[in-house]
Amino acid sequence: MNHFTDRKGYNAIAASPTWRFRASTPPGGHPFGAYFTNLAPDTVNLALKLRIPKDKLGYVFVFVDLGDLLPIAGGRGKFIFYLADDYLVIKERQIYHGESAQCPSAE
Amino acid sequence: MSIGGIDRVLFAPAGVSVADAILQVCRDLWPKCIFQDSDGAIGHEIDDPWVWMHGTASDEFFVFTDRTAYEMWNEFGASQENSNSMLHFIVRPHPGPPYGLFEVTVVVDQWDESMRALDDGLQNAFQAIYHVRSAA
Repeated sequence: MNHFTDRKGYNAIAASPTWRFRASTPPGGHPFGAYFTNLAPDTVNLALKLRIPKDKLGYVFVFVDLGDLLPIAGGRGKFIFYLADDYLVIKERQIYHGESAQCPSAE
Repeated sequence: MSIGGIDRVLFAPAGVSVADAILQVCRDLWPKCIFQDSDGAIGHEIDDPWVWMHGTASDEFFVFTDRTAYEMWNEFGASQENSNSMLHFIVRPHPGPPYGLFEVTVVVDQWDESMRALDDGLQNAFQAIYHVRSAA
């Protein structure tokens, strides 16, 4: 599972040994929550599928999925998931964090 | 991670080309629109025969309102300037019940007059398909 962000967001999350992904309310009437995707950094047309600016894809956190995230409603639920609260990822689940272009493998 | 877009879910009868119906509605609203498969790198003008021969087999695709929108989205992703100039369609079988339907997800940026016109066009097109099937 992956969480994309810009440099500022990356620095904030990577500052702690346990990653904390803070919940917020995205546009479009989607629920309050922390959002993730199973689409890898090298996914074709990633920014279009997530419908975000390309400069929000510069950094990625990759971790082991526990199956505890909910799919959003509709067809994008096959690749966008969320939890209605801050989401914590302990060190043992962490796979990679850094520049998306340097990510060694797909999730 | 932020996600963008409003996800609107509609239902269409199974057994016909839903993508074909979607693209006809888009062409009526935006005669110069561009089709791009979600895993493709090339944008095809809506009147390109390729779209009607191959693109309609796609179950996930983007429609840009014009060539400028296609170029902006592919270079920058989402921005305030290109809001509502790209529509993202995902078509998949509805697990049911009810059965015999496709679930059509349309992702847009804002629910404005143009998107309401799109929604009306799609619903009319899907109802027309249903009535043709029922009459057959």
